This record gives sequence, C-alpha cells and structure tokens, in this order.
Amino acid sequence: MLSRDIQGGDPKVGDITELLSASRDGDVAARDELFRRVHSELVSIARARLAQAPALTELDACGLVNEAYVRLAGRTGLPGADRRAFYAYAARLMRSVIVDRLRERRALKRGGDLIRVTVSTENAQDPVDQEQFERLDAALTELSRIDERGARIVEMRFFAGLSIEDVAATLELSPATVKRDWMKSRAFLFRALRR
Amino acid sequence: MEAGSLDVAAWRSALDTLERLVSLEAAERSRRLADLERSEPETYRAVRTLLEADAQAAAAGFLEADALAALRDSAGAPAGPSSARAGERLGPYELLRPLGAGGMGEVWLARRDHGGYTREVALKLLRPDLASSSVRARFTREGRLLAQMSHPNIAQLLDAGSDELGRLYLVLEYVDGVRIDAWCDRRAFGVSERLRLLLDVCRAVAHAHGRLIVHRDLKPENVLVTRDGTVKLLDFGIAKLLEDEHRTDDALTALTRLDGRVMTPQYAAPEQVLSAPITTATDVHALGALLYLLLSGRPPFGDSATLSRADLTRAVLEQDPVPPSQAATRPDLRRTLRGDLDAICGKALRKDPVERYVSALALAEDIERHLRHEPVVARAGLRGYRASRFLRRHRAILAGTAVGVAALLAGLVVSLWQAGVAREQAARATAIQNFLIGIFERNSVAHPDGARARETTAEDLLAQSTREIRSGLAETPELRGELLGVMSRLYASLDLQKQALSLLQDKLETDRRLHGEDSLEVARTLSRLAYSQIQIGDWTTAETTALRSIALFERHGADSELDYALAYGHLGQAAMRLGKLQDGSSRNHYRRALTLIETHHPADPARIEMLHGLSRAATHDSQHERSLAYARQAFALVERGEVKVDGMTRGGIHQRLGNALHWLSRYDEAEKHMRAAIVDYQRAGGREHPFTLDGKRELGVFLLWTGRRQEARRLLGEVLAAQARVKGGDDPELTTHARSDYANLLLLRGEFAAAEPELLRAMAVWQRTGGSQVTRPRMDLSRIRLDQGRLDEAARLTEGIEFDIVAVFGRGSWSHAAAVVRLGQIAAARGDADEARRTFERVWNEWPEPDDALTANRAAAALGLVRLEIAAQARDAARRRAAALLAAIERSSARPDMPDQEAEVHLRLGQLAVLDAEARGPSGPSGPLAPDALRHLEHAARMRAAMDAPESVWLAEARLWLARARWQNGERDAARALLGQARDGLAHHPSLAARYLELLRETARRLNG
Repeated sequence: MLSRDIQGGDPKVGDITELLSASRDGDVAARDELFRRVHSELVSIARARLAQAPALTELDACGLVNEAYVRLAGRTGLPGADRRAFYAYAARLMRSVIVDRLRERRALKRGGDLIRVTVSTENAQDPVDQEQFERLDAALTELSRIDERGARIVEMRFFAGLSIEDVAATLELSPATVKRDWMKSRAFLFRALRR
Repeated sequence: MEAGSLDVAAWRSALDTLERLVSLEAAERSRRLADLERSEPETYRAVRTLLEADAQAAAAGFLEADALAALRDSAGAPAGPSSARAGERLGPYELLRPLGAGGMGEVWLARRDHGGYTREVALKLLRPDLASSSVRARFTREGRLLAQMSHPNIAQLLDAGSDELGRLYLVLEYVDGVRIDAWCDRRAFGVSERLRLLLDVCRAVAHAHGRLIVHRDLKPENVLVTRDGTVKLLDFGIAKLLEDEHRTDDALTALTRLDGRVMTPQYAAPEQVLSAPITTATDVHALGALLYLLLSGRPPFGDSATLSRADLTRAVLEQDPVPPSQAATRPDLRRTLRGDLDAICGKALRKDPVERYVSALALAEDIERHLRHEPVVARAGLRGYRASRFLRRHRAILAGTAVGVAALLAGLVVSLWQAGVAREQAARATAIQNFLIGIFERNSVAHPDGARARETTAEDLLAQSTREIRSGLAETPELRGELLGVMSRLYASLDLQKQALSLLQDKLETDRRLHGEDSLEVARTLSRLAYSQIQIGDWTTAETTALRSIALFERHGADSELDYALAYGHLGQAAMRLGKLQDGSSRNHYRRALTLIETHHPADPARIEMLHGLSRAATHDSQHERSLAYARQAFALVERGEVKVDGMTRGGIHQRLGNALHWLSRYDEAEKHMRAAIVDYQRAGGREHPFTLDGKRELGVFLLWTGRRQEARRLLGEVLAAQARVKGGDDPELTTHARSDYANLLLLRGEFAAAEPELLRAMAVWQRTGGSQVTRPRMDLSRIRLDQGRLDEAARLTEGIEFDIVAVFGRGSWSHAAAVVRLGQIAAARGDADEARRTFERVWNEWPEPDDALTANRAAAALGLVRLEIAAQARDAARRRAAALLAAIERSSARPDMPDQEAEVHLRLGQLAVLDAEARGPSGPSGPLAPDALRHLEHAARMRAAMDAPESVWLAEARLWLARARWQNGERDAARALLGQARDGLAHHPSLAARYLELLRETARRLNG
C-alpha cells in the first residue's frame, strides 16, 4: 500500500541503496551524492508543509521524516536496515529546511509582526523569536566544530524527532553515551542562546 | 573571562570535564570543582556555566519537543486570556461558561433563546487565525451538510456560522458524558458489554459513512457515553470542515487536533501519518483502535505518555499491534480475547486500508458473529476453524453478507438435506451438490487471491449460480427445476425473498412445461410461491396463488401433501393481512390447515405455525382466553416432544404466549415469556435476525403500554434501525410495523416532531401495499394534529376511520373503541360539546366492561366527559366522575396498561381543586389548597415526566396546573420554575392547540400579574 501513492519516480533514485551502503563504508563522495538526492525529496515535502503559514499546527518532524523515508523506500526498495542511516541524513536536512524557511519568512515579514517562538515545550520562561532559531542553528554549527557527534545527536533529536534509543542505534552507540552527549550539547546550546 | 571566547580545544576540555563531573556524587563533584578552580580557572568557569545551563535547560524542557512542535507551540498558543466572556452573545447564542479551550479555539456552554424557550448547546469558537477565507467558504457549505446528519448516537451539529465580528463558530449538541473507556471501566463492564457498546459506535459511524461523511478523528475523547448509557460521537466531520482547501494536502486536517495540539499518532492510521487520502477505511482503523483499547485497556500502538512521538509514529506505520489478548491489562481477559477478538482487532487495524474491513458495518457484523459464536470473517484464513465453529452450531446460516466459503458450503449441504433431496434421490442430489461446489471453485478462479474469494458474499454466490442455472442447464430441465427450487430456498433462508420469488416463478414455468399445467408439481410450487409472496407483502396475489394451489391439490385428491396443508395456512395468513378476520375466513383457513397437519403430519413444525395463526386470529376477535389456549397448546406440543422445533419456533411460542397473556392483563408472566422469546431467537438466529427484532419490538410495545417508555424508546428505535438495515426501509412487513410502533411510542412520549415523519412514511408504505394496518398511523397522526390544533387535518385523517377500522378489526374491537374515542376528542376540540358527549357515551354503552376490568378506551372516554364538564363549569359533576374513574382505574386488573389515563385523571382532580381555589380568590392566592389536590398534581407531573420527552405537551400541561397549585400555596419560586419548564417544553411545537396556549397564557398572567 505504501507505494501506491507514489506517482512517477526519479529513475536515478534507484541507486540510493548503493549510495547509502557506500556512505556507510566511508565513501565521502557517495555520502554527498546521497545527501543531494534525499535533500530534494525532503525539501519538497517539508516545504509543502511549511508553506501553510501562519498556522504551524500541523507539523510533525518525525512524521515528515518518516514520510520522506517511506516515499523513497517505496520507490527504491530501500532495505529496512538502511533506515537508520537515512535518519541521520534526514535530521540534517530537516534542520536546514526549517531554518531556511524561517529565515525566508522573517525576511518577508520584516518590519514587525514577528511571531514569538519558544524553543521549549512547557514552562516557556524564555520566549525567543524566530531569530533564536537562527541563533540555535549558529550555535549548533559552532558545536559541531567542538563536538561533531553531539551536534548530530541534537539534529536527530530536535530536528528529526528521534528518541535516544533511535539515535543510539543509528550511530551505533550505547543509549547511555547518547544521553551523556545529549546532556552536554544541550547545556552548550542553552548557554549559547542565553547570552 | 567570557566563556564564549574559548577556543575549540578549551571547549572540548570543558565538555569532557562536564561529562565526568555529572556522573559523580555531589560531594565528590564539589571537591573536583574546587580542584579545577585552582588548577584551570578558565575551564572551571566554562564548566560552571555549563552546569548551570544544564540545570536550567532541564527545568525549562529546553529542546525537549522537536523543532516543529516548538514552533507550533509558540505560534499556536492562545492569544492571551479568553477572547470571549460569559454573557457575551454570538449571533443568537449567549455564552454561559467555558467548557474547555485549545488551539482550535474555545468551547463554551451556550444558550439559544428562541421564541421563548431555551436550549443549551456547546459552542466552539474558532481561533481567528484558523479562519482563512477558504475555511470560511467551506464552513457554511459543508456545515449545512453536516447539520443534516441526524443520528441518536452522533452529537448533532446544530449550526455553523459567523457573528457580526466575523468570528466563526460551530454549535453542537451539548453532550454531558463520560469517555467510553472510562464508562466501561467505571461500570466494570465485561467483554460482551463492551462489544455491544462498540457496536453502537460502529453503526453510528456507518450511518455517517452512508452520507459520505468521514469522522477523521475518532478517538476515545470523542466517544462519550451519557448518563442513560447512550453513546455519542462528538465532532463528526468537523476535521474536514476546518480543512483549508488551498492547502495542498488533505491529511493536514487529519493531523489537526481540535484542541489545538497536533494529533497524537496514538490513534492515527498510517494514511494519516503519510498524507495519503483519508477514506472511510481510516475510520474503520480508528474503530479498531477503540475496540483494542476497550478490550485490552491500552491503545494499540502504545501510550503517548510513555513513548516518544517518533516511536509512536513508527509503530503506526510499521508495527502490527501486539494482539489484545497479550496486551490486556487484566490477565483474566486474555483467554476471552484470544482468537476471534485478536483477529477482529487485527483486521480492523491493518496498515493497508484495502485489507481492513470494507466498512464499519462489516466490522460490526463480525463482532456480532463473534457474540453469536459464529465464525468470524477476520479468521477466515485459519483452516479448520470455520468447520469446528459451524458444527457446534448445528444449523443453517442466516446472515446475508460476507459469509465465508466453508460456512456457506456447510449451509448448502444442510439445506439440501433438509430439502429432502439427498435422502430420496441420491444421484440427483450428488449432481446438485457438484454443481454447487462448482460455484465455489469457479469463484476462487475468478478471484485468485484467496482473501477476495472468501469475502464474496453469499448473495453474490447465489446470484452467480442462479445465472448459471438459468443459462446453462437448458438441456436438463429436471435438474434445472430442482436446482431452482433449492436456490429459492437458499434465498429464502438468507431472507432474500425477492430473489426467491423470481426463482420460484422460473421454476413454475419449468414445472408447467415438464409436468403439465395441472400437475402436482405445479401445485407444490404454487404453494411455495404463495409463501414468498406473503413475505414480500403481496398479499392479494398470495391469496390467489394459494387458492390455485389448493384447487390443483384437490383435483388430484392429494390431501395428504404437506404443501397442500401449508397452502391453507398461507391463505389464512394472507386473509389476516388483508383484514379478512371479520368474515372468519382467516380463522377457517388456519383451522383447516391445522386439521390436515394433525392428520397427516402430526410431528411437523408447521402444526405450531397453524396454532399460532389461530391464536392471533382469536386475539383479533378479542377472544383472549381462546388465544391463550391455542398458544398453550403449541407450547405443550413442544414440551411433550410431540413436535420437534428449532430455536426460532420455540421463540415464536414464547412470543405468542407473551402477547396473549398481555391481553389478559397478566403482565409479569407476559413479560417473562416476551424476554424468553428474545433469548431463544437470539440464540438461534443472532441479534439482527428479523425474529429477534420482532421479539424486541413486541417487548418494546409492551413496555410502551405499561409506561416504561424510556426503555421502550431505546428498544423500538434499535429495532427499527436494525430492521430497516436488514429488510430495507420500506419493507411493508417487519420494518413498517417496527416504524409504526416506534412512531406510536414517540407520539405517546410527546415527541411530535420526531413521530410525524415516521407516521407519514408508514402510511405511504401501507397505502401502497393495501395493508390494513394503515389505520394505526392514521389514528396516531390524528392525535398529533389534534394537539397541534390542526383540527381540519385531524378531521380529514379520521374521516371514515370508524368504517375502515370496523372493516379490518371488526365491530366492537379494541381499535374500534379507540377510534370512537378519537372522534369524540375531535368533536370536543371543535367545540361541538353535544356531539362529543354523545360519542364518548357510546364507548361506555357499546363496550361494557366489568368494573374490575376497566380498560384504557373507557377511561379515555370518561376523561373526555370530565373535560367537557370542566369546560361547562360543571365542576362538581366533573369531580364526581373523575373520582369514580380514579377508583375504577386503581381497581382494574388492566391498570398497568393505562398510565396515560391514570396520569390524566390525577391531573383533572388537581385542576378542579385549583380552579375552585382560584374562584374563591380571583385576585390572588386565597390560602393553601387541600393537601391531596397538590398530591394529585404532583403525581400527574411525576408520571408524565417519567414517561414523556421534555417537550411533551401533556407534561407541560401537568406542570402548569402544578405551578398554579404552588402559587396558591405561596410557593412562588417553585411555581415560576414550573412555568418556565412548561414554556420551554411548549416552545418546541410550531403549532399548538388553543387549549395549551390559553392555559400557558392564563398561568403566566396569574403568576406574573
């Protein structure tokens, strides 16, 4: 059923499987190529969703990533084992898609009418506007220079909605390690945004 | 030094230190930090900052939600405190108090004042940013469609509009209820009670699907149960209403939670997560999830409180839920759930919509099959399962849809055997059997995918085989005729009478060609044809057919043939249906049939059928003792084992006994047999078998008569809905009888607006078929017109009614007396007091009854006279008559049958006391009333409130008089409250008889003046 909704298809996506396994084996070129391919898919889905401003109430990061995955998988016969690798990429993509989108919107709306955005769920004592998302993005980039793994973990948790266990499985680490890395990264980012 | 200016290496070191520190005990950590401060002050400061940041981030839940949720929470946060206030008006609605708030907006309890009455509703006020122009357009367009959907288990959408400020709102029926799972838990419901409740949910969903409305957001929060146990689905189709057409994707709506948060995937179907098209199958999935929750105590894909969104989403997309039997929180349930219920949940929760149940009704049917211990479709793939279940049941199939291959095949063999074919003509029987098996084989070839082949309905298979018999067996006419006969029986057993009829007509042609116009074969087929014609309501033709059959049998002198005796039975039944009880022909035909059967086939179950016919005929003749005697005779035959009958017939015997006992005012015994009948029917044929439903109908009527009208309403409403589903909405027999009874009940509860369309529809059907029962809805409608003050219409409806009723039910019958009472009431309403009095007195003169057996008609006539006397200011005469009547009612053995009259006589006695008091002090209260005057009125109001709907005019009348009595006693607040209640009730009626309006006006004048 999952493939029934797929119309047409990019013939080149067929080799995503190969790209994935090559990238797992450390082939940087394959990884970039994969990144590019998946990007277009995810961007088109996410943009379609994000386009419905002002109500952002329908968005669901995990749902988006899953949808992108399922569409690609349906088209290419992606083996289940590759889903994890896929998520790592998708998380990065989600980050760029969301931040780009917010930046664009802010450009459009400059001159007031900013939507207040909170980067925490409850007890939102520290409301930040959309600029804060960009600052988070910058802080994350800074973090990636200091602790690449920590930054990836934040991407997967925050931008792709993955659980600690998922992240652990994707990165082939123990959940305890991921939890520690997550804690460190979060403290780092919180500090950066508080400045 | 500012921590942010550290270089990469310093940060790495700080982060590493942090990682080491957090795993330490507090004391040890302080010690290490102190060391660090001395040795590496820069790192120390960075680590301190990070530790603080960590604590604050954790407290604030920083990054805990995913990025999109974070964006959403801020964008979707309600704009400050409530944007509406209590007391504020939106269009015609006044806001009372907030019921809840969410991202979609706020929900208020509101009130609509309309022509003096008020109604409480739930009003959803839409958040302004959701109200884009395309949402607005859709709002009015689809809101109207949704508002047309009306179902007792669906909270009605009453209105959708915008106020002068442009705020959009939805107005829904206010439901004061409890979540379905909480309701079940609170009452410690067992599995079957939970299933029955879910069946109501399924049927309501099916009703909406039939109108092409998909709920899209079914979850336990949207399925409430009200205090009286009625299921109510909330927000049906609302998700669609809020959808923005300019959005590219339908599924966005599915992800919109009405309370503003994104829908948790907990109850979502994969297509909702995937933005695939939402269809009725999406609701089937949600019903599966609800079933799962009710059975196991857990949602199918885990709890959103313990699982991350990501895990839930993935589970929805990829994982098959753990079977409820393993997930059940109560270990004792596990065995009950294992098997059927695991399979049913599994099938409803399939990832692929195509693999789920084809409809909500199909799911309901499978649950019902499980409740009846029949094989369920969900387990169709499991070998041996069907056979084992089937053998346990020992009877032919009755359900009409989606019956599995093995079950149907077993059913066919049983039918063949019952047809006597297998025993007598083994060779031909084998040929027939091979033919039938061939049907299944060809079906499997046509649908190579086994699942599809299994879901071919029994009806489809029969249609397929009928085509083949008709076209393919021309060269073997004998086999062809035989098979047509077998097929017609199968159709009849599936209750597909029209198809059976057409096959029998076909067979008749074959028999005529093959055996000759006047052959015995033709006589037999004619007899069966007459039966089919009765079943579809073509009584006139059935009568002719039966007579032709009888003539042929008699020409052959074949009076020992069973079909000959049965032809007399059919003749008796047709005569009864055509209202020919008066000339005794129905009774005579039945008696002839009974004699033939007693002589030649004493052990045949048809003997019971004939006794029942005679018992029914005796009831029509008001020969209730005789009626009971026939019913007892049938009961004894079965008890003694002289006639072996199936569960259906046994149920029929109980039903007949119950009916006869009811006529004899033996209420407790009657109710016992009526309930026993339902049990027997249900066990043998399932919940939706026409007999089960008819048994429930009869019990419903019994409860209606005896004033237990809430229960009767539920029962009769259920029966009508099911009967219409099974037999079609305009079936002249079972459905229209059920409709007529339901309408009668609605009328007696004072629900005129609901009763009227049902009465008109029943009248239309019976006018078309020439059914004598049409006088019943005519009488009922005339009662409504009378209380509406539409006297001309009432008169038109009752024009010639006495003649019509006498023609059908006979002079002196119960219905005859009821008609005369009605004529008197109409004369009184038109102000023709003399004519009215003469008419009421006729009832007392022409239907003499012993004092201790007063019945409702005489009581109603006496009440008519009391009203005339009150109107003529003859209060003493009225009081004497009313007091005597009350004494007679209380003495009568038929007292439980006349709660309406009992309530009215109390009302009149109270009214008379109030009128006396008011006459003593025309300008104001003249001192307290006699205590028993108040008691009478309280009694009347209490009885009416227990029986009637809130809008009942009779309830309002009782309250108004009670209000005046309380006013006399100085209880002003209580009096005004009663006046308000009565006014609310009366305001429901667009048209009212003058006497109600005058009473309301006069009462208001006294209380306010």
